Amino acid sequence: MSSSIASSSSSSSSSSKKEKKISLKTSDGEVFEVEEPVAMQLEIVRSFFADNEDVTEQTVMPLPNVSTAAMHGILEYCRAHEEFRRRMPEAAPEEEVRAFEAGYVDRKSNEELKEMILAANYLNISKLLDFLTGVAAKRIENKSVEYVRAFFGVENDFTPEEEANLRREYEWAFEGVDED
Amino acid sequence: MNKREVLAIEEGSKTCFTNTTKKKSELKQDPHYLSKDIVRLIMEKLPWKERVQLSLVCKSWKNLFDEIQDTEEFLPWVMCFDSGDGGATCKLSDPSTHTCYTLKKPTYGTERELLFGANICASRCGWVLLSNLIFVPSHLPCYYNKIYFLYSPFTNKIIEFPLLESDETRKATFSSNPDSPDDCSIIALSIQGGNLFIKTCNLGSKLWKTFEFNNVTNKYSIYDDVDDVDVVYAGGFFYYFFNDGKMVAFNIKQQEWKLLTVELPVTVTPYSHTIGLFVSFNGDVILRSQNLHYRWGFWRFDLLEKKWVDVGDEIREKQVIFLGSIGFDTCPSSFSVPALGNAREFAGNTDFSCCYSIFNIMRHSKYYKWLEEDKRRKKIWIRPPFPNPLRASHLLQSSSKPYPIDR
Repeated sequence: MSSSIASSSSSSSSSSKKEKKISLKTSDGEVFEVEEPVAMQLEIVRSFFADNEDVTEQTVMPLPNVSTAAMHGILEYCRAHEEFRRRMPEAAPEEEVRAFEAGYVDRKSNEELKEMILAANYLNISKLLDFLTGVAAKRIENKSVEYVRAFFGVENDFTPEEEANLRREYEWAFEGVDED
Repeated sequence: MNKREVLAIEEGSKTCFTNTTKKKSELKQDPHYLSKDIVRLIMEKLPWKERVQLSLVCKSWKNLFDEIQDTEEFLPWVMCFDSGDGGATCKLSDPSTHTCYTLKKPTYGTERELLFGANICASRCGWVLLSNLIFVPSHLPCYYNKIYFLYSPFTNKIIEFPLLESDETRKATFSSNPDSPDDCSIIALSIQGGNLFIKTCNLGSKLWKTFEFNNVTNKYSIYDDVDDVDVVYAGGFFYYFFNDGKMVAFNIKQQEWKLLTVELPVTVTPYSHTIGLFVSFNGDVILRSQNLHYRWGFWRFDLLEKKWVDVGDEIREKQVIFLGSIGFDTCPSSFSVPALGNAREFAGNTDFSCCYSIFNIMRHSKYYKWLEEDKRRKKIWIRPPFPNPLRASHLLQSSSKPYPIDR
């Protein structure tokens, strides 16, 4: 039932036959034609096609929580990983993967990163989600509480007293914080 | 996914769509747009100190922080303590995220450096009990008073107990978190000439109380062996154990001591076993023994029946024990944690039984291996003061009888 089984069986046939494409429609109405093994990395897509026998190749799957911009980023990541997998099915070339991932996130602003995290979560791509949350963790490391609130756009619902008490309790944890 | 669900996605699309992309400014205002799972993934990737910061972002993040600590993080931390020439340095090591924190000196009075040269006695609830000698200059010949004090490396606080004059106590422990509403008391022991001396003091009181028990040392211990056995606190009592089976139980509330005679388990002999006491995370007093073949046995002290009940299988299955050990440069308090979360993973990755000494761990575990850098420092197991480790007991059934029972 795992996505890797589904995608590997389809990719082995794709070399002989014409590559099968899957149509995915983003929130702003754009339709992406995605190679099947890449699309199957999206768990939500994989289970949609696995669980619905009456869907055909013409079915356009709506992805209402994903914007076109986020979709571009996600496909770039999934295509790169599909490429790595195709070239080296046994073990991914770690160096190359790391180099790709580093370059990949460098180009993403905080806003884009957050949007992609939400999209990866919705599409249920655990590997990408794990990677992106790691990037977000790096970006907020050593930052002040205020910075983190602004970064994620989260509202503070502590009363000033509650917050002051918590701060006092673990004072040492708040030393050496970077300037925002 | 059936057709109705597909339709639901389509319908949901409009609302979600506006939420996530169209109105970015609105998205920023919605505190719930990041699901708990996402925040959790981020938090889990950060060291503890960072997580403390994140717990201040908002209430739901604080809850998540507590939840992770409650359900995932069971491995005890290590406090490394160095009172060498450079003064007392103190480090805290978090095994879960492989992070080490060097602590600044405690905010404490200037006239003396309490931590310098201090001995570590016990650890619980994020506090460490230490003792130190204080030179009395006016007195000839050379004369020292002893001071016991509690130190919290997490909050950098020190709490002192009254000075003890001409004191011989070497073994000590304390009952509870001094920040909690329960009264915190400490007990210190010494054996001189076959007699046991117990000194106790409550937090805030100005005097120590001394109790003396004559001729308690057993025939096996020719030497004063107070160092060799653990003194522990459980359910309102301090327990000290003699390796012939005698036990002293001190009722803190009533300030009364009782000498209990409890037969040792038949398979345990003081000649061939290393014996010690610890308190399991669910409050049982446990006798541990290790035979010459390094095989562990565990017995729970049954207060009603006044006997040791074999709980070896249960302990091996459900608990991971971080042993305190005795001697120079070692950590005197043992820790029992439920075999859950990262402690279960930890125990699964190691080849020995469920009992770990700090030295084994430094050599064999990825979680603690890096502690070898601090080889020469004194170490003690310590748990971050929150969450309450006993909260995890809902995950495991307690085998303990209700405390306290005084007969």
